[in-house]
Amino acid sequence: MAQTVQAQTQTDPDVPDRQVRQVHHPFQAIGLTKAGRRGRAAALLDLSFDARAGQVTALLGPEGSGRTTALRLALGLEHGQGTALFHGRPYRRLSRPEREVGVVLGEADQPAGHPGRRARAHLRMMAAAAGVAARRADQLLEQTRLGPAAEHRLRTYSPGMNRRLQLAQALLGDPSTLLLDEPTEGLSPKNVEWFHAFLRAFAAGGGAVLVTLRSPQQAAQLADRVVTLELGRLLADQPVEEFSRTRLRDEVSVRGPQVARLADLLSAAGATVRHEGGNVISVEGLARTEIGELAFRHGILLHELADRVVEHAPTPGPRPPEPSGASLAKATVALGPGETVTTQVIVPTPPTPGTHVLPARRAARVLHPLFFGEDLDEDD
Amino acid sequence: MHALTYERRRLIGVRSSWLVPLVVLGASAAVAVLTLGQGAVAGAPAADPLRVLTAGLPLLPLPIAALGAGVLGALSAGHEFRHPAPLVLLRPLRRRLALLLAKLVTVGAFAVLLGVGTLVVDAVVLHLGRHAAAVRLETAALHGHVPTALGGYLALVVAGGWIGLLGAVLLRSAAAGMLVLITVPVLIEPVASALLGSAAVSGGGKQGALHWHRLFPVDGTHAWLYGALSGLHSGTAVSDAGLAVAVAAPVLVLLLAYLVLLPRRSAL
Repeated sequence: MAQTVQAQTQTDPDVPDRQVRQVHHPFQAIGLTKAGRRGRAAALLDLSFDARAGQVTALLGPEGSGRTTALRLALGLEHGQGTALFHGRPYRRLSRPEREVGVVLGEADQPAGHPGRRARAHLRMMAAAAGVAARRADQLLEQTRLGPAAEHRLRTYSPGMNRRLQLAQALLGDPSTLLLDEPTEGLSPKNVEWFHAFLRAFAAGGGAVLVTLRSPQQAAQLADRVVTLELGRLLADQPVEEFSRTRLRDEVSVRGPQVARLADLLSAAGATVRHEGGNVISVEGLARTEIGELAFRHGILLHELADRVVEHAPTPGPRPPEPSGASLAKATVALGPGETVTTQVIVPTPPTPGTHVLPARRAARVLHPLFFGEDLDEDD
Repeated sequence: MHALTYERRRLIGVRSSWLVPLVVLGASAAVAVLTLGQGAVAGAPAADPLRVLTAGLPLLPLPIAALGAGVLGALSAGHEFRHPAPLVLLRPLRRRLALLLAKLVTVGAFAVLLGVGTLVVDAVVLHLGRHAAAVRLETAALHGHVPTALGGYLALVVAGGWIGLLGAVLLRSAAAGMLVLITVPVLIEPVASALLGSAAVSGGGKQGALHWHRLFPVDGTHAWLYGALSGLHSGTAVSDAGLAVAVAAPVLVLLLAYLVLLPRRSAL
């Protein structure tokens, strides 16, 4: 806060117009940093991004990449460096935080409150804590489709219901910004779908949504903007179209007894074929129907033919304006000796997909030297 | 933030706030009946009607109602640590202060109700058991001569509730709050006697002095029974004001300690 105040006082008094017109995003993270414990690498290093009104912003990364830490830092629940602004003010300076920011933290398999309390009583209690009428709690119970279970005790709630109750709790103050930490983790597909629809509708109504996610596929479905984290460093901040173009690929997985022959035919047809081991291949560059027809024409038996979306290794992509170059440079420096594997992950190699791939892929790579070994044995 | 409404709804919504009063009322009625019976067996007018009314049990450091209020206060604070749903809401300091105040008010009111409830239940027991003593007390009460001990009893119950609450909020756990509740009365006696002993030597005035066992009526003749568990068997003479200080001091000390810590914490 001190920094922003200084910045404001330092700005030229001649151009107050610019100051007034300056757009404050609903959420703006500036250099969020959390030092690692006992000399370990930083849990979060210089993370800057913003979430805009009317958009769903996804903070994407694998477990331990610092997404939750980023949220907790932004809310002042943890100590660290950097600041996060909500409409230009840090969270602790908001006079009525629940009216501006709704927060869903915590686990889906934990009850939202005391397990012996009934949902309606719990939400009414939280309504009092947020300073709104009890009527609003009942309204939100209906809105999150918990109306029929409103009189049940919280310990009987499923993960999906817990999550929806937590969402209702966050919405009590009618906030314009929502911060959610892995809202769809561990939920059934139906609940995930409901959550996506709700968050999209919330954003469509002019709200800003910041959501942390683990799965790139979900990020592509849900978000308008995807911020990718890896080991606490910002990797990319892209619109979703660019994200799905650079980070996701459509593949067709083919299984059958004669895939080796099919693979040759597909390569001849111009597709990229990758052996997944056994009698499974992954084909990129040809649609499912085309592969099926090709197989049929050559009389090749197929057991499985399925579309799937696979994560690319993160390509460099365009960086967000100011801090990115610095952060990435720091990232490579900060990873000292002994962490060569992670260093390879961080340093992106543009033409070929890097090491950050699905396990099946990595297995295929590992096989390579083994084949060499066999060759040598034969020579002997 | 409507802290009082929040606290009221929180209190009503959990089962413990119904169970604790039930147990306290039942236990104090049982103790009152036993005290009456003991007096009858001894064949002496041993059972002080006040002792029956407050259901004083020599083994406990505090009256049963005060323990119940303390347990409730400790649970009230522990709830915010076990189920920290409004953690994000409680970021501003003034809200945490408001919540603490609301908790103090709610627990205090609950403790008064609990104290009055036990008195009423025990009065009924006394009325049924020993009509003569009861009638004497009742007529006195009707003429506005309520024994001071009953006021002290209520004060002790409220103080118990607050000690439990503040202990739990200070140490961030309901169990710790209950431990503080049991420990504080034991600690008070030596401290008070040390302080008052020196004061008595210098002042010398013992006018209107009260004995612990007269205000908190437990059996004064069997001090060995309370052992180290109780701070209430002391023969130290204290004035009314001194006694009020003795009851209020631990509450104030805990409150001050907590208020020092509160701005440094991120949660309650």
